[in-house]
Amino acid sequence: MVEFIEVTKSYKKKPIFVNLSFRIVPNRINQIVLPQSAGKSTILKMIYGAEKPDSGFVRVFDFNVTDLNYSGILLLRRYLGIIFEDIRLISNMTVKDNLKAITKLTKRNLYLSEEIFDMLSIGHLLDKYPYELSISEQSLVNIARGVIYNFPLVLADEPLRYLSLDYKVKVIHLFKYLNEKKSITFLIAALNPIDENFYTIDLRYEKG
Amino acid sequence: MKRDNVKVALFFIFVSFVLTMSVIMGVFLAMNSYVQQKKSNIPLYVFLKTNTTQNAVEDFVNTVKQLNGVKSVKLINKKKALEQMVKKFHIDPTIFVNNPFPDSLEVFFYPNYTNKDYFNRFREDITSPIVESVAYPKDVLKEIESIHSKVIYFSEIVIFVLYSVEFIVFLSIMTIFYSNRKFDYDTLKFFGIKRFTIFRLFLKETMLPSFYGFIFSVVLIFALYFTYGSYGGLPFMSIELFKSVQRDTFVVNIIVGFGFTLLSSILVFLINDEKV
Repeated sequence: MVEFIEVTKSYKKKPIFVNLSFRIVPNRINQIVLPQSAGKSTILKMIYGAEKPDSGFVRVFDFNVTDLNYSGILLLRRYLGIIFEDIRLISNMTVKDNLKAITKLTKRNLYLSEEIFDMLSIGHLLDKYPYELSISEQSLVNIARGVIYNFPLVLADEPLRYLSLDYKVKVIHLFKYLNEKKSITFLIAALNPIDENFYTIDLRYEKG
Repeated sequence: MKRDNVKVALFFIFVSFVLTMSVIMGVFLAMNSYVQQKKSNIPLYVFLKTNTTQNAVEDFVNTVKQLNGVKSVKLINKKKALEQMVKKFHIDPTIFVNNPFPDSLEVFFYPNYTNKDYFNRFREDITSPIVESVAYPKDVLKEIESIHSKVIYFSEIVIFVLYSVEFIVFLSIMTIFYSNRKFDYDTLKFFGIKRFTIFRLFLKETMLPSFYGFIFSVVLIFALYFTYGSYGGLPFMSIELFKSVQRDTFVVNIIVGFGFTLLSSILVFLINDEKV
């Protein structure tokens, strides 16, 4: 589903990874555990084509992302759920519009799993604008947007960062539920291991 | 919803553009119209031979009226001419044994035809045997033509500079608008939304404040008409003239305003949008 083969990536001429190789386990919740500023977001960005590796191959759904043109990358992204570290809700849309924006703008008739609203307790926030929400509420909406369409692969960049303990539990429960019931594969990047049942990816690379 | 200050700024830029340009262009057009009016008051004199019969004069007057560019023809018969001179210079009329004046015509032209070249051509084209001579006040015509061309030149320069400045203002506000939205647009791209869809979204967001600006300008312009009609009055500019030129320039500037909004949106999007 996702495989990195000898990927090298530098940032401002400073290497982050040299010959990074790993593959995720399909139908599982995979977690990448790396310290602060060690390249977690860069790995996820290379999967959805926002960053290009200097060399090596990034394979997603049998596509080599490095070979895809921009239209191909946009097409690939339509099958990925993304939970951003910096939340990135659309500022002039309500929560409901944020969640529906993908179907509306891509004119796709995607199934919207409204059960997510209950599981994350965000049903009462639907008509609010992002600026009216607390950072943890915004984070919950960000998570909901990433998983609401049952895309086969969800990329989550530090999804629990802004959440209190009880909400962290709720989100982990949600991830497990979606993984078990809907066979959604997760790739979560985090500072520390999130759950002992998650598969921790063994990253093989030479440090930059 | 939270107030969107960039949209508010675009709204006011559109309104100020339409109103400022309409009023300035209206004033220039009214000035131009005033000078043209003065210009077309300059007559060309056609002096007829003294032995011309009344019927021949009337036929000739009708012929001249049909000619290209002629606005009106005023016949001054010899009797009237003598009376006018006697009255003007307080002369004793009995000193004249014979009336020294011929019948003459004052021919007035439309502004576009009131110029030296056309007057000269007109003079050459009149080949009637009853015409003694043709003349016009050369210096006055030259002077007013010169004033007219200067008014046009000055107006064109000012309008061109103002339009250029306004377009730069539109480009600047669009750049700010796009920068304000860039984060959101990039997010949408991360979900696979095509750039063209985002461009349409951007265009919708920029055109909407302009549309509201248009509605607001219509209300303001009606208020301006009412105020000017009731209380206003610029020197040399009649209310009717003001309203007629203002209406035309208002429509032109609404169209130009939408054109500037569209063009600046396209340019800013093409320059700033990235494939992220």
